[in-house]
Amino acid sequence: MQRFHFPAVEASQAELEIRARVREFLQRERETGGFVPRADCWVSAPDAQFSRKVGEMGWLGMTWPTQYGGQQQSPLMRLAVTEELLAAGAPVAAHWVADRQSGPHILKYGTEQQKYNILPKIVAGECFFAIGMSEPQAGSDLAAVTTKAEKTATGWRLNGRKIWSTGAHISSYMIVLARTSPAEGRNRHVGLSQFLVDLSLPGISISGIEDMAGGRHFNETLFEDVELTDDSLLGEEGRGWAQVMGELAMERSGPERFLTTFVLIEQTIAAIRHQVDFQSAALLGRLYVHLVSLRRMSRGIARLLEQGESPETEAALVKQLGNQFEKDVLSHLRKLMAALPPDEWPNGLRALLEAAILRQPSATLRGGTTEIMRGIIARQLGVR
Amino acid sequence: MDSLIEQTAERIVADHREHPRALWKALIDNGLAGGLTRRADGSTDLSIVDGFGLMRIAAAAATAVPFSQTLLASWVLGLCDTSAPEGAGSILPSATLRLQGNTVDATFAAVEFGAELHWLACLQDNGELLLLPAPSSSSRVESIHDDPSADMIYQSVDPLAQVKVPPWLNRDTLQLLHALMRSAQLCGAMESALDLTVDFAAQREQFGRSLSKFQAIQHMLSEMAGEVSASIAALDAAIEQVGGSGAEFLSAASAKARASEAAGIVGAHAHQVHGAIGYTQEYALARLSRRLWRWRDDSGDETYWAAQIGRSIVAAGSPAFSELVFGKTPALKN
Ligand SMILES: Cc1cc2nc3c(=O)[nH]c(=O)nc-3n(C[C@H](O)[C@H](O)[C@H](O)COP(=O)(O)OP(=O)(O)OC[C@H]3O[C@@H](n4cnc5c(N)ncnc54)[C@H](O)[C@@H]3O)c2cc1C
Repeated sequence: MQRFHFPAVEASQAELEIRARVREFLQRERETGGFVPRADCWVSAPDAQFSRKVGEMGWLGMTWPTQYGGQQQSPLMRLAVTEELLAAGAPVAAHWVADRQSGPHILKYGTEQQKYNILPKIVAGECFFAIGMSEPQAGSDLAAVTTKAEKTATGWRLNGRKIWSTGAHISSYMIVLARTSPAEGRNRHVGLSQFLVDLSLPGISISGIEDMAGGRHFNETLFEDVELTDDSLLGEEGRGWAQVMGELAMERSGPERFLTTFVLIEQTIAAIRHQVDFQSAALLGRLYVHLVSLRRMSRGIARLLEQGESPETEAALVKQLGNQFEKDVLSHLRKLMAALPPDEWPNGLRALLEAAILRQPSATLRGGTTEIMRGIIARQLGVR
Repeated sequence: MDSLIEQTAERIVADHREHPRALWKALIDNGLAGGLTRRADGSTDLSIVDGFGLMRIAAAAATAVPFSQTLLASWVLGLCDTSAPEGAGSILPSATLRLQGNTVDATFAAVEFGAELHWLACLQDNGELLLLPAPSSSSRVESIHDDPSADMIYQSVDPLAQVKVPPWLNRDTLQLLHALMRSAQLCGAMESALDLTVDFAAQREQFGRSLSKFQAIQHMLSEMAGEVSASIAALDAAIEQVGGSGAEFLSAASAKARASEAAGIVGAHAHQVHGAIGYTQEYALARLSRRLWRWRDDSGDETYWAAQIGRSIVAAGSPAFSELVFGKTPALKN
């Protein structure tokens, strides 16, 4: 019995053309000093100016309806763009969350007002988002969140603490998961709601947390009696759990789960191409094999999204395999580079590899840990 | 693949899986075994996509008949404008075989299903293909394997036909096709091993609950599912590229490398979850895992193919790598 479904998708001419355009844009940017390729660029490299340029090219919110600034393109066209940006190690972190999940989430659950206010700004590359799910005591066990929103005469009052929010310090909004009524006995999935929180409001303090790779990319955000207007509620009161599961499916489904080290593979091939023995060829070939099978699955997910399905388990599968693949990339590249004496490494490659290694522990945590992914897959197999 | 063909095949293998003779007859009678045999007008009843789909289905049911071999060999013969004879057949590369006058004297060692074959196609290094009838005699090779091998002995045998092959067909391209056949079979057997293991874990109880309630077990099953899914993705990608000049190197090599690697993990986890019962001759798992471990090495294992791929990547150069992965982009007009 086939339990997981990844439909086949042929590359359209339009897709190949947009790839060519993105490559041309990226080459121009690289040559004019617009960016230096980075590993893990969708988290490690925020650059508001670059994001605005990507917006100007029309590559943000591409799949959204035209009345909100989008172009109603297929998810496969968006996938082509995101793959190229990731493969080049471009500084896409600033807009990544907004384009990938917050925008589509607002499109699905937001009011007309919310959509008109926010989506065109995301499309322009001028409005960034942070994810407000995790809390100090609620990591994998997300339903344990204690951040609270209480109904007031004019809207809601928000109190609590979110942690690990990537890019909150450069974002305009955070989508916050908060409790709006108590759990019903052991059922903690009821009584949760999502809020669209303007991060410039009084009562909000954001403090950076430095990650082990030396970047200040994530944050702790404190909400103290933050007064939210009525229209800050995103979606339905009490439906926050179901909504957040949908948001996570979008968060997990993309190629950033296996392309964050692509720049390194390319540079390594260039560096070692005259010293490739059987073992090295086999390592390199294995990376290719895994990469193309992951891509194939990832394209299948884009097709499922296009058909309006919610490929939650497929996304978990690709995330799990993709995270493992990226670990293998680094261990294989270390072995491959060992063919060269240390002083013959090309400029910058050592630093890139070191940076990627220091970012490695985060891949199997963010967006849901490997163990949690395996649980999702097991449920689909019918054993949970 | 065509869903009607899929259903027919699944029904047939389910009905007859324990009885190879009856199974083979049903595969012939329903037009499946001869489905890739070239008709007089040059067409075949089934497509090659159906063909690989059938190999996967047959392997999932652990059938012990030369079905996949017959499909592949018939299809290749068709590409040489030749119709395969009736019955079971196979295709082999053969460098040593020589015609003595008009007759053949040769021994083919340890041919899979050698004693059951009605014909054998031998690809010669001189670009010809010799179509031989059933051997003069054969002797079974003793082994634990489920698909019996035999030495095929030919003494003064007249070939059925001597065919000129198209330029693309040689040892390497034939090996690639065999590798793709093994990939399809590996995927089928892995799917089946996963199904068997999921069902077993749900039904077997220890410590007062079913094994599937233990997270360690769930994680092994999830990992198996990932390996199977990735192998199928690679297989599908390769099958799409198969055409009138055989398989496409990168995709077919990737399919075999991916499935061969996965087979090790899937087999090991399946046995771990099953405990001792899985280690018996009687229980259904072993006939899958024995094949997994044989097929993953046959026609080149994961390291062999990965190295072939790695060499071609290096030869293409690093700027070409992203093209190999993401596709070649057109030149822009403006
Ligand atoms: C780089 C980075 C960026 C992030 N960005 C954001 C963000 O923008 N917004 C946001 O809200 N969050 C963010 N996170 C948080 C992330 O979602 C959490 O780290 C993750 O959900 C795990 O939670 P935790 O860190 O509290 O670990 P824990 O949940 O405490 O888990 C610790 C270990 O225990 C295991 N474990 C936990 N529960 C189980 C179980 N039931 N069965 C088996 N094993 C279990 C885990 O798999 C893990 O190995 C980010 C994290 C990282 C590392």
